[in-house]
Amino acid sequence: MALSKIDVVNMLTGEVPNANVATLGVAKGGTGLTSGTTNQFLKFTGSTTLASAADNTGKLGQIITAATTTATTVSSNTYADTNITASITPSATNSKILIFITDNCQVVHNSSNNDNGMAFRIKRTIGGSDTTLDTDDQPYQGFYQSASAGENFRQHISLHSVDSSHNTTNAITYTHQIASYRTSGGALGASAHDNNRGNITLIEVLA
Amino acid sequence: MIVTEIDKLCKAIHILKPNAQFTIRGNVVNEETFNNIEWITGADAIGSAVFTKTCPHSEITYAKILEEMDKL
Repeated sequence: MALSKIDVVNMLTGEVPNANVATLGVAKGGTGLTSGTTNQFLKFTGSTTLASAADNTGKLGQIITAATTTATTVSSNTYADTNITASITPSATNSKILIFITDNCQVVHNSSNNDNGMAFRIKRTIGGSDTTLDTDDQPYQGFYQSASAGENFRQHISLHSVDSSHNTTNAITYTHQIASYRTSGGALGASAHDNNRGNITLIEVLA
Repeated sequence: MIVTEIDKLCKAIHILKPNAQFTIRGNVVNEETFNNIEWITGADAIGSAVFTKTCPHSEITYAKILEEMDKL
């Protein structure tokens, strides 16, 4: 049937059903999307595709902090846990965890050696499985003092590390570990000595 | 006697057992807290201390520790 009449008024004021309108792709200046997610942003997922995505680039996800005033005294060159420990549950497997530790450490020399030192290590525990993040190569590398036998020295130390290999959204526990260089004759190394404070702060940085 | 000086306690332990390796958490103030000392018996797969709270050294008892500390 031949078109005999165009209803111009209704054409200008009416609505074209969505089903009759094609989605305009990125290559034509559109988004290629039919919907988005509240409070999210558009992100290129390919050269000509966009998608809704959270604004999480480099954003801090969470901060966990813990402190202790319970001393840990060791007379061993085998690493032992201190009470400086904290747990975090990452929101994504590819986020980074920044670890900051401060500790008040003390070494006591024995009566036969003119020096003593301490070594430090950060232990990571996921689901009961332990791994080492950062460790000193020598048992005196973290804190060393050479002086007369029988003396003791105290030092405030700071450690930091980045965990970019946890690959989990399960809870992760980070623990500061210490070891003493000299292990006899009363030699010792201490964390949070004399019940001074030790701190640990964990920060999740989203990818 | 109340044990409050960790330095003396460590010396006393090493007098009784020169190569004893251990970890002390917090303060040792009586026999009960003395019994919480972690005696290191070895290392696990990543080199962390493996310990027992049962003292493996017959030379070391709370009474002997107090005697040695009195001499220091």
